[in-house]
Amino acid sequence: MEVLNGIYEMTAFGAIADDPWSIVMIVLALFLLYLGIGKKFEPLLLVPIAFGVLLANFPGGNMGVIPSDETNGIMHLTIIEIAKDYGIMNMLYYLLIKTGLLPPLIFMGVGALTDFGPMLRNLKLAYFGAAAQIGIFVVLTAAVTLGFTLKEAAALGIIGGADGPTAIYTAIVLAPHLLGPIAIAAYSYMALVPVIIPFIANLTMSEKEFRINMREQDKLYPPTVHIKNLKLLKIVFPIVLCVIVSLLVPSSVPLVGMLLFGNLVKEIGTDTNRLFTAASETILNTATIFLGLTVGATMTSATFLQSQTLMIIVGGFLAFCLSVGGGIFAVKLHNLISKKKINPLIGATGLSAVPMSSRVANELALKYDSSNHILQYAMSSNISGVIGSAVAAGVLISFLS
Amino acid sequence: MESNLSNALLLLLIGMSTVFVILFIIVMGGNFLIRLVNKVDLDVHEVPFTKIKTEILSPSSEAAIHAVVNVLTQGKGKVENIEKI
Repeated sequence: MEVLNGIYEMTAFGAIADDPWSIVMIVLALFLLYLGIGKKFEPLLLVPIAFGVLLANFPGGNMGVIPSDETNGIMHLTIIEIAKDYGIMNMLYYLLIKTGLLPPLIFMGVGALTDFGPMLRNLKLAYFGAAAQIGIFVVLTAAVTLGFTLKEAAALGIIGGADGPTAIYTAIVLAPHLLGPIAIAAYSYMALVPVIIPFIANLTMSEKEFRINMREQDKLYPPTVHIKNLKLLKIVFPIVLCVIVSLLVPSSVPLVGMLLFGNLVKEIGTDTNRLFTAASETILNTATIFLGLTVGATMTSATFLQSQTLMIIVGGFLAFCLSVGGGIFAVKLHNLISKKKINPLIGATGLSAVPMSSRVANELALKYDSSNHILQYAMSSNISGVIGSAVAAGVLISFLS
Repeated sequence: MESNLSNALLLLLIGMSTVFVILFIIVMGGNFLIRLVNKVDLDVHEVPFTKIKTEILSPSSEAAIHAVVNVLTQGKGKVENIEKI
């Protein structure tokens, strides 16, 4: 009998019976895996996050992230002590996430995969990337009225920026205890961009607006500035942009600076090709794996199954919708005062989620007019949205941290 | 609660203004850069893409060979002739 008891205690069954809520988390992990693998919802991040949730919720594996508090004082331990006492997942979390290392590394990779060409060709459209940040701040205000602290509300609102690494970075700095649900909400809604943008666009746009043809508008009102040397411009631009942002919002430099560095090594070309390959493949992929697993491992039943989580899921959705709507209404406002009309779908792409939101907007425009290819125009607002959300995060961090 | 709300509204104002100002500077700075770069007459060391008279390759395969040589030699190499061995 003692042997049988020993075998029972060796397995996770006993601990699961003591904490049945962990079964809910395991089911949630399996559902997220289904979304990532079966439905292809952002599989590159959702699969590692879901697997992290799965690993963290089997008792005895020592893979769940334990928040640092006064009693355990994890933050004051060395990395070796954390690994020895709390397991390797906690070591990875405190080394890579708590220090805020991984989101900037991912931004470097994103920068290496970003082309500023469309933005430089249509610079004026960059303003709509600013308008589409409204969801962040409106939801921040609403969350405060619901009882969230300012820091928590800011971390929740940043989901409206539709930028996973930015949301995670802000949550790490301002509300690390909400990191799991915020990451899940941010990446889930990014995966739902093909549903959210058409939903908001159909609610707010007329058929006439869907049919605004950007190329015809360009022929009627040609751009005044022409680029003669795009290659040189694309090399100089990230350097100048880095200087501007570093001077005005230094707290956003870890994100924007790394994004621009990644972009610079791409644009230089063959001379820095090895750095480009490392940033866009090796480092980006490695960082994505560890980010996903460790963020997933923060979602144990004790930290995730709270009323706040539901509010984060709802608040994140509202922030997303408001950001899309903000961009659309900014274009509508522009069209009221300008002769040259812009398709409001360009504004809808002002939230980040590059390049999916641009692709979705392009497909929507093509439904109404098969010759209306707005992808290049949408990318301008889309890329400026990445910068806009990183700057918004910088403002929140500098005021609240 | 009220002070939190007023702080949140202040953040809304400051945050949105900052994002607009930064993107305004980026647009203005970008336009300035375009004009500046347009004026610069660069001595671009690009390897000329010489058309090779050959009947053994399709134009796309020839372009692929040029691109590979360009990457491997870091822009210094030049394809002069392609022969079937």
